[in-house]
Amino acid sequence: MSTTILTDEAAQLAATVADVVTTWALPVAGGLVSEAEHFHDQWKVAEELGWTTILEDVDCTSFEALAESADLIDAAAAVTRALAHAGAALPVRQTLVARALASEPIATGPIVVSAHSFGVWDPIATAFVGADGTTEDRAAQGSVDRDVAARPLHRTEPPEDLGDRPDGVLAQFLLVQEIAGAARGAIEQARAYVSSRVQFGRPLIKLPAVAQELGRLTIAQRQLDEAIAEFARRLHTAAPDRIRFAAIVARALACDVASDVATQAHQLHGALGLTADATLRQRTLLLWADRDEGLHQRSWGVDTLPNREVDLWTLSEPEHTHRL
Amino acid sequence: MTSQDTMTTREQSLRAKVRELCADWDYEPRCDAWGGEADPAFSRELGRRGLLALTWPKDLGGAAESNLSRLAVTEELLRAGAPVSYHWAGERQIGPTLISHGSRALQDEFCPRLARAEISFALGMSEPDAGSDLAAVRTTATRTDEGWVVNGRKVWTSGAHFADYLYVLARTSKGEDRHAGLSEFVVDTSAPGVHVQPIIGMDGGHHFNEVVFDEVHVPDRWLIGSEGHGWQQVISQLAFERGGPERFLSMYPLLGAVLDTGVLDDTDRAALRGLTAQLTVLRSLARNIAADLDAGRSPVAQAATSKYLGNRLELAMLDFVRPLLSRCDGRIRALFDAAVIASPKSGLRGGAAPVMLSIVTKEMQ
Repeated sequence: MSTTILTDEAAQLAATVADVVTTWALPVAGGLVSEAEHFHDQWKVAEELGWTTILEDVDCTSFEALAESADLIDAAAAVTRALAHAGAALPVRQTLVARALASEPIATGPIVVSAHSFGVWDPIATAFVGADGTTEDRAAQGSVDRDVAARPLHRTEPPEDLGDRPDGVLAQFLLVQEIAGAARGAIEQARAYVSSRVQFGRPLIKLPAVAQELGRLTIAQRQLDEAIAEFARRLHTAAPDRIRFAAIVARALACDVASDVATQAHQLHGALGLTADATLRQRTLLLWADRDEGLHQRSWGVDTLPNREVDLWTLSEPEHTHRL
Repeated sequence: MTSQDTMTTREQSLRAKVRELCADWDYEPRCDAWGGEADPAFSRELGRRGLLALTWPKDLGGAAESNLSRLAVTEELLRAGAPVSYHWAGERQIGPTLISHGSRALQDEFCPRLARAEISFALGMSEPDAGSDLAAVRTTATRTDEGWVVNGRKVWTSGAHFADYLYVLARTSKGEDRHAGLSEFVVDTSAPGVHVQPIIGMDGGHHFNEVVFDEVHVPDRWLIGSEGHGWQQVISQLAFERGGPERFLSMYPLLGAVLDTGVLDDTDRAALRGLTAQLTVLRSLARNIAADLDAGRSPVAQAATSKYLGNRLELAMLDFVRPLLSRCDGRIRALFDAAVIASPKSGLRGGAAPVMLSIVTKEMQ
C-alpha cells in the first residue's frame, strides 16, 4: 500500500486518480472491457499505485472494526468514485471489497472477487474470497458472459439479500460511490455537450427546457451525494441498525438516480451520444449495470425498514457529527 | 449506539419538550398544520416554554441558540401535526429579518412580542403581477413628512385575516434596474386603509387573502433596514422560507399514521423504501441548511433544492397512501382528503418548482 494513499485526504486522492486516468484510452465499443487493448496495463497501474489494496488491512467482521477504518474506507470510496467518474473500467471496487473480506493477505497482482461482486469480473478473477474470509485460487473460466457495461460476468444464483453483515454493507457503500461517480461524469458530459452544441442559433443550454433538465439532474445528484454522506457518517458510529438503514437509503436513491441520469444524459446528448466514438456510454452503461447489481427481488431491503412511525423517525434522524 | 446517543443533549431535550406539550395539548393532528387553522394559545404556550425564537438574542426574547436547536423544535412540531400557524411566519422569518436588517428600536418593538406569540405577522410579498417574480412588485411606498404612504395590493397573503401586522415589500423608487428601489415595511393590519378580503380556497377554507392598501400611513421607524435595499434583504430571507422542514414534513402526519396502522404488506413496504430514502436525505439537507445559517451563510440554492425535493416527497406520500385507504379507518381517510386538498399549495408557497429549478440551474451555470 502506498504511503501517499495512507496520508492523503480522500478528496486529494480522488484528484490524483483523475489526473492519472485522464490520458487513459477507454475500451472501444462492443468488446469486453477486459479484452480492451490497455486493460492489463491500466490494471497494473492501479495495483502499483495502491488503489486496489487500500482496504487489505481493514477488518470487516464487525461494525466497530469498520468504524475504526473509516479513513481508509473514505480513501477507497474516493478511488472508486473517481474511476467511475472518468469512465475507467477496472475491477478495483470488487477487488477492494474482496481484499477487505480476506482473512489473510493476498499478494498484489491478481483480480480478486467475492460473493459481493455478484459474478461481475468473476470470469477473469484469479482469486475468490469466501464469506468466511478464506481465499481460493481460480483458473480463468472458458465461456465468458457479459453485463450491460461489457464487464465479464459469471451469472450467479440470486442472493437472498444484499448482505446485512459489515462486509456486505461495505460493498454497498463502494457500489453507491461508483454510481455517484458515474452519474456526475454523465451529467458533466451532458452539460459540456449542450453548452457547446449550437442549435436554433444558440447553444442548447440557452433553451430553458434544456437548462432546467440539467438543473433537475443536478438536484438528483445532490440528493444521492447527501445520502452517501449520511451513509459515511453512520459508518463512523458502528450502530448496525442505523448503518443498515443508511445503506438501504443510499442504494434506493442510487437506483433511481442511475436510471434517471443515464436516460436523461443521453436525451440531452442527442444522437451523437450513441456513437462508438462518444464516451458518454462509459458512464451510462456502468450506471445501468450497477443499478441492478445484486437486486433480484422486488422486496430487497424491506426487512430493514421500520414498522412503526417512531422507528422511521429515529432511523431517519441525521447523524450529528461533522459534515462530509 | 442508538440515534438518541448521537443527538446532542440540547436537541434531545428540546425534542422531548415539544413531544410533551403536543401529548398534553387538545388538538387533532393534521397535515399542512403550519398553513392551517391558528391556535394562538398553543403558540403562546410554546413561547412560554421557551420553544420559540430560539435563535434570537436573549435581550430580544430569544435564547441565543443555534438553528440546529430550532430545527429540532420545528421538526417535532411538524411531525406531530401541531397547530403552529399563528406564530409560524413571524417566528420563522420576520423576527430573523428584523434582527438582521431592522433598527434596534424596531427590534425592541416587535421581537419580544413575537417570541411570546403575542402578535402574529403575515407576509405581504406576492401581488397579482408578482408571484414568483418578486422584482415585479408594484405596491408603492411614498415618503411623506411623517413617514410613508403605502398603496397597492397583495395577494395569497396567508393568515392576514388574523395577523396583527403585515410584512410588506414595496417599491420606493423606479429605475431601470427592477431589483433596485424596493423596500420592506411593517404595516399594522388595523391601520386605516388596510382592507383584508378572503380568497376562499378549493376546500372552502379561508387561508389566503387579498390585502388592499389605500393611502396607508406607515411610521418611518417601520421601514425595515435601508430604503431601496429590500431586494437584497428579501433574498436573504429565502433560505429561512424555503429551507425549513415544513417543505417536506407537511404530509408526514399522514405517513406516520398509516405506518402505525400495521396494514402494510411486503409490496407496500417495497414502495415505502423510496419514501424513507427521500425523507432521510431531506432531513439531512435541512440539518445542513441550519448549520449553514448558523455559520452566517445564506444557502439559497440549497434551500431551493430542499424545497423542490420536499414537494416531490409530499406528493409521493399521497401516492403511497392512496392504495392503502381501503385498509385504513376514517381518521386516516380524513387526513388523506385534507392532505390532497392542501397538496397544490404545498408546491406553490415560497416559489413554484420551476422557480426552484431555475435557481439551481443559475447556480450551476
